Amino acid sequence: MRAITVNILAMLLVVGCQSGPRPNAGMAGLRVKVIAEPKTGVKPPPAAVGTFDTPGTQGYGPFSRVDYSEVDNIVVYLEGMTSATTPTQAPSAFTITVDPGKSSHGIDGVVSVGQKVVLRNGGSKAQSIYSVSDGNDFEISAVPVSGSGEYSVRSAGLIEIFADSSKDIAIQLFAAPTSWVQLGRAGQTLNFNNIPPGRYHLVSWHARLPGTSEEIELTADHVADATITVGVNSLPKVTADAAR
Amino acid sequence: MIGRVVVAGVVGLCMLCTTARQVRGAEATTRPSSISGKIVVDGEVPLSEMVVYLEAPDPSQAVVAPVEKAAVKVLQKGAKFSPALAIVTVGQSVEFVNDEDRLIEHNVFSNAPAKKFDLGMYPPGQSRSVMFDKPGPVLLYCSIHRYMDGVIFVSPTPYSSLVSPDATYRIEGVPAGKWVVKTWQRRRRFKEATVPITAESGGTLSVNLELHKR
Repeated sequence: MRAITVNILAMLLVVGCQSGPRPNAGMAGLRVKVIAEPKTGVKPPPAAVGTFDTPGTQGYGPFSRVDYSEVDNIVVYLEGMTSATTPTQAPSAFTITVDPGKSSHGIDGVVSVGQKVVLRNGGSKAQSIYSVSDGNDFEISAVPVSGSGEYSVRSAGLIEIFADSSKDIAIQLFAAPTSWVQLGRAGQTLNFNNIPPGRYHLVSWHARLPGTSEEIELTADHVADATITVGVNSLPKVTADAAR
Repeated sequence: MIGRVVVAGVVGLCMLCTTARQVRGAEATTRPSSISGKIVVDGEVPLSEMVVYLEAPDPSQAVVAPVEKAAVKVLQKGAKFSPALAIVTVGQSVEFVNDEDRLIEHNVFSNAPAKKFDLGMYPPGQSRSVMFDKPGPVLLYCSIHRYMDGVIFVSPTPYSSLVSPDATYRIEGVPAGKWVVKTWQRRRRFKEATVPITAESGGTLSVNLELHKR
């Protein structure tokens, strides 16, 4: 009898650990399991060798393979389908430093439309910080050393930010249409908590791999579960016969 | 006009203010012209992998000559797309050739709005072809090899040019009429140029394109 009680307690503890934070009364929660899957039929690589976005490292060679268990920079967000499921206020400002000579190799942060982005000059001389990304073009000229400039995100999508000191993209941000956005990686579970109940689009995005979009319904006082899978298997297939 | 233009010289026989649709009918009586120029940018930033192309003033009304070009070949030896940037015209095909000299399969795919496709895995000695039916950049990747990437730029017209390392371009065989000169950068550091021009019969038009941050 005692053993059974201990087992039940242990199970409750495990369930409790898996559930993540509970939503406040009248609100909903969502757990999203993130999966990246290789092309069906591809044998696993002989060893983990990094992901699409791992900076180039000597010794990897051109035949380095993608380890799908390590794919990162997967953006996941919830977009409300009604006004009741739309955030009422923008999150606080997102601050990031532009370091001289540093190139971006992945998503450095996620922001949302309407959010303020503060860009700090981490270099040793004043420089312009700018972007020409669609819908988010801006230029903050002559940002002093250790000083900063700011702009408000106007459009959803990838924002590539340059600085006079950078030869390549200095910072990459992904702007979601909603503030319920997180940056994840394969194998991770993301928790969205205290979301108004209602219908949403659960959307995932990756710079190379096809993302996903599905409708979900969140109910009050309940934590729902969802799984998103990014990978090439959802793309239209081109076969030799059809293509020629 | 996003980009500023310097029209340095115009040599032609007559001024034709025609639409792209009218151009086609006039081709029999007019001679093609050429358009060339230099890309000018702020600062000392090197230009890499850039395209200059012509678009009809109203792309929805555009009528261009049917594509007669043969399929472009893109090789994959050494887990590198070669060329890394290829230009094709809407309606043209690309043959993706696995020319590895060892038993290495590739899986070319793209998730680009202009063309989403998955060629599946195929071994050396085989190829797959894709016809590109919408204009725009198509970023290529291999689902197996992490460093393997390239681009097919699908031009809306057959009139396009890669920008040379010395930042110059040249487009030949352009029918007389009104066009819009546009740029596309693989690593987009400047606002793309959009410059309306009028190509004259048999003329040579010099159009330098200044690219800016804003």
